[in-house]
Amino acid sequence: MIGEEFASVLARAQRGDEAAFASLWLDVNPALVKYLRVVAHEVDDEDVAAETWVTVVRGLARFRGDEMAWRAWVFTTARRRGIDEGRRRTRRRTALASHVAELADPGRLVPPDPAQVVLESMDTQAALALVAQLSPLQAEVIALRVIAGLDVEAVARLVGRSPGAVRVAAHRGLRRLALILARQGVTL
Amino acid sequence: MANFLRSLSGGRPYQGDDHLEAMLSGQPLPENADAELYGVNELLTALRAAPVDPVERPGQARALDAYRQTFATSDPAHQRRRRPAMISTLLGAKLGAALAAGAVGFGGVAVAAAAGVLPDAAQDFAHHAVGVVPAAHKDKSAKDVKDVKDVKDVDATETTKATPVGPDATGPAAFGLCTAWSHAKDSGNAAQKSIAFRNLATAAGAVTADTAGAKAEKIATYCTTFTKPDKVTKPDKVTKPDKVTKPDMTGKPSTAGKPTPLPGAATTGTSHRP
Repeated sequence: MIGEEFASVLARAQRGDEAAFASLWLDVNPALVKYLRVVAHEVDDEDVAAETWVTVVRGLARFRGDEMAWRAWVFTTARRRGIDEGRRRTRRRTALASHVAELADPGRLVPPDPAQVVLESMDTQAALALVAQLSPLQAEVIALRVIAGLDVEAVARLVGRSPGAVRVAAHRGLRRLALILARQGVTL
Repeated sequence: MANFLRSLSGGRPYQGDDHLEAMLSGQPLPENADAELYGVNELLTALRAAPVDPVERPGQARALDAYRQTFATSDPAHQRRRRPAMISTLLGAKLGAALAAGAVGFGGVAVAAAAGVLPDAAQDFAHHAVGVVPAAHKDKSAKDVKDVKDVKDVDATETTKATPVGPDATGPAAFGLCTAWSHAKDSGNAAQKSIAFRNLATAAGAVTADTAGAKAEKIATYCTTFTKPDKVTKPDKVTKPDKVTKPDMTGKPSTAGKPTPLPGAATTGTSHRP
């Protein structure tokens, strides 16, 4: 999140300031790619992210809103792109499966108490892989809350559900993640 | 742990929803949070971490290319200012304010009237008062309307170049000036002091008068020598008409820096070609 400078950066980007636009891109794009990896299976997430920015740039001059509205708009565009591309492309499974397998290595040191699973070297890719095991709604809601940084209301509008349903889905998703981690600890 | 797993099996409601919300919002977990939540919290932290992924660089180039194509320039120093030009607005406002305040005085109105750019009613008044062309009323004959238009077009070109020195009080505008002065004097209008009336006073030799009354008397005497000129008739070309009443004049009006003599008023009997 850019924070207090957002309005100024946005205004400059809307007037053709390339450096300002680069700031917007750097701030949002990593989250965009991660979000697409979670929710848009069967797609090339970098490609869809780039196509998302092409669409965003076309509408940039007309955009009006604060940083939360900006992120909601960008992620809504990405979601639409991801859905469109979802059935045509296969998801890239490069390091995700190997990361998950590495965590399940019996030779790996684990704490004796399965209730206190400490993921010493949990990296982003492994975390994304775990979230992707949730139900589609739970995975997307958690990705939008945590990765995109949207609030409950913005997530509700984006996924087309009530705020209450969004909260329930997010909480169930987190509890499910805790269970997965606990089981991983147990199996180790 | 047991409580947490029991809640997942569909039993009683989970007591730690506020802790879950805290994690989702990026806030630190309270100390009394369930132990199993710390692992989840670390997972969410890993989700938020910015990855060092070189694969994202090509995407940046594509985004910037799209931006450059959509926006004309990428250099803010070369962006044109889009604020509207203030100069014309300011000039317009100042001129309007000056005219409204009467700062230009009757002379300025005469200039505008001579150019035929006043509203019809005002143009007619000026026609009667100063001797300029009348407004192009639709109820007039087509001939007259055409005349007025032609005359207006021609005179507007020259008259608008005139400097604000007021009408020539010794020329054909004298009758109109006298009429206007008479009205202003009767109504006590301060417009008596405008440029036009000063010209009239000078022509009447009233400048050296001691009192205002003496000055007025001199102007009144001077004005009795003028009669109203005839209505404008159609010229063969854009020149003076044939039938005009030749007002008495004390001198040949010059053309430099003053409104040109108008058709309908003879000068020295030669054709007037503006």
